[in-house]
Amino acid sequence: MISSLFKKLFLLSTTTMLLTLLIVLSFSKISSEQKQTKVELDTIIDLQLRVDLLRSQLWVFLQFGDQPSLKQVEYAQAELATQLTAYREQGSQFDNIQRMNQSLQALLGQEKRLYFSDINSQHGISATRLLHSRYNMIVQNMTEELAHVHRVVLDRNADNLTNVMTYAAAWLIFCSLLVSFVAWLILLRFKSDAESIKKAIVDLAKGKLDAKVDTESMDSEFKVIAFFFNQMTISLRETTVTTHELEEEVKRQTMQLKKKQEQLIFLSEHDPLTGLYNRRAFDKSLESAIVKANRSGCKLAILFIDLDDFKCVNDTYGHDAGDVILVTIADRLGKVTRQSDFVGRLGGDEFVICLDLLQSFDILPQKTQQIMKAISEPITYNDRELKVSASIGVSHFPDQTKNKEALLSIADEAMYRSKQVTGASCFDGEKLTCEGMKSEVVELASARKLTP
Amino acid sequence: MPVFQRRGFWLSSLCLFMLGTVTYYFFNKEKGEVSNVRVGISLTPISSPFLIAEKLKLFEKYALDVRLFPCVTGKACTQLMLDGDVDYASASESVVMFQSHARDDLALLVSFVESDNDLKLLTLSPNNIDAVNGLGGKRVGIVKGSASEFYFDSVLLANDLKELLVSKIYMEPHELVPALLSYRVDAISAWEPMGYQANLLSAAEVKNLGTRGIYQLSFNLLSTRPYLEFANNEPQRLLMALKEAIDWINDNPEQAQTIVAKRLDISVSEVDWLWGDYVFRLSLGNSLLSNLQFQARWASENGLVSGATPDFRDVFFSQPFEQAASMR
Repeated sequence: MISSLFKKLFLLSTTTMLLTLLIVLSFSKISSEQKQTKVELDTIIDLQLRVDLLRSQLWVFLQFGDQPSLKQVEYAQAELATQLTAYREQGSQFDNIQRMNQSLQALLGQEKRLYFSDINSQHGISATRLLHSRYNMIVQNMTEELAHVHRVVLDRNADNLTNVMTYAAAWLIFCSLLVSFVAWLILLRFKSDAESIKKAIVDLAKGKLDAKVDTESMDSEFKVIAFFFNQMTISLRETTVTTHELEEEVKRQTMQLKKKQEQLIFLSEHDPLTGLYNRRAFDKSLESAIVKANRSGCKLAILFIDLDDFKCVNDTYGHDAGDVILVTIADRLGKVTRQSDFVGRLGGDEFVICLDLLQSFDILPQKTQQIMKAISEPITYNDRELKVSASIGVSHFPDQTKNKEALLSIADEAMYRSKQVTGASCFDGEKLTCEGMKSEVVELASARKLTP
Repeated sequence: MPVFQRRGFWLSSLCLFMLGTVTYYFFNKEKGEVSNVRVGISLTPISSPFLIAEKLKLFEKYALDVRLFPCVTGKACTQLMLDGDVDYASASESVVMFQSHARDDLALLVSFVESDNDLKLLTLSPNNIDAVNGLGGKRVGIVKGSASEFYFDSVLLANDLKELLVSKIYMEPHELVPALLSYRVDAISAWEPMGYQANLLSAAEVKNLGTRGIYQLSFNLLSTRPYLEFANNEPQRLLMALKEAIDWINDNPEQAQTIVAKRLDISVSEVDWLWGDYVFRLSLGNSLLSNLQFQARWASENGLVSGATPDFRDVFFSQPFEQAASMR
């Protein structure tokens, strides 16, 4: 099948032209056919007139039987002969008439020979009777023959016309069918091709980037369009991000941001070295703890811790040793406190613990002992054992104050009171508790503590 | 689209089927039932329309199963028909004229060929007869009561030699040429192809003493009225087949001669010898009627027939011819 719209249209126009040509040809053929028939019919009419003339002259001759009438007959016969000779070129259809005319001529010759000798024999069949009878027959025959030729010409004309018409009709039907078929083919193919391209475009418009036109049974013109359309969708697919992909990306970025934010929050609230709350975060937590304690009626205790001898360690063993001590202490403080308590580093060697959700302060002495012990545990640094002690100041909420700053300040002051004692000690505002263990460093520190 | 295509396919198939059915119906309607027809014809070129129709299968076209029965002369063919051995016979108008005197059930359907030069009065040059009047006291071979005798009488009449003393020697058709060639007779009045045979076989020159145009031979298709009464349109179809054969002969004379020569197993030159004189045409007109009447008168005057001259218009059975002529 022709797989191009152009070719089909070309075939269509060619067939239509052929059709037109055919119609023109048929009409010209019919026209020439009729012209020829007219010529033949004119000839026949002319001959009929001449035969009629001959017949009438014969009638006159049979009536009068004289020389002049015989001459007239001969004249009419000769006229017919001349005319027949003239018409010979039209074909052999008048041959029979000619033969009859020749017979007539022969008989007339016989008549002339007998003309005077026959008069005496009037009984029975005479020569003249025979001849006259024959004239009758011949003229009758001529009329019949002319009628026959007339009929033949008409029949042939009708046959030829039928022939032309039949051929023309057959070709017309064939060409018309071809035209209809090709037009139908174009229509169907155009419809289906346009439909599939439209469908693909609609799909693409809906966002279906995998929309594809099937070019298998397409006309070449549509095939080109479809090919570029398919190319376009492929390019689009390669360059365009889908919503889902976009959502995933946004989620990922948000997560990252959140993580960063959390990191920042952590960094802003925690001491970078120990990971404990810094002053600001501790203040914030304390504030909310106070709010909660106020609402629930629970008690709070603030333990202000200052490491003894820390500066000495720092100076003697370097900052790295100091950092190790700070980190270790922070870790130990985390371990000895409950989940609800929180620990902060306020700077240098100062730590603060908030013991939250206390029903009473009875547990405090035990807790401070535990903390002091934990701090006093030796710390290994570069195969050396270092030891620090802590001076702790305690304040009570709400017993001493309900104010946050005051609470911290009371604890700070209590810490200073406990600092007066050498070694690990704790002052809770009423009594001072000591651990009683002394190290070389502590002693050195105590000595210094005492000197000024 | 496949649905469309399938529907189109079925539609066109249906159209084709319907077209086929209609064509078949009309074709069969036209054909009707096949009639068995027996025709007696003389195996000479004068029967060409039958031979051509047989060759071109035109009889089948008109639903006729025609069997051609050969006979020697038209007279023999007619006898065959009257005996009931064939349904139709072809014979000259002389036979019709003679038979019409004897019976009234003869039917002349049509004349299918005419010739005004078929009969000849032949003599051999050693006989030294140059004209008809030279036949005085001579012996002329004639087939009694036939076109041969009528022609001879006509020639005498036309030359105003009715009273000439001539010995008519009656003989059978096949005896004429041998009699002439062996000089048992001085002349013969004979129809073709005897003239051709005489020319072919004779060492001496063969001369024709006859007058051209004095006699017009026609060959006609005959049957009997009792048969035609129950023949329906069979004669009409037979005439239509003959008409088509004659049209073909007139359009293709050379091919027709070849076919006839082959069928009759004679040379093409023999067919060609006669062909120019024949006018093949179906007719049933006044010229034939006046020919019959004139011959009847001659026969009556010469005592060849007895009784009243029949009305030949009643012999003409024109209905099939008229119907065949009106159909195309």
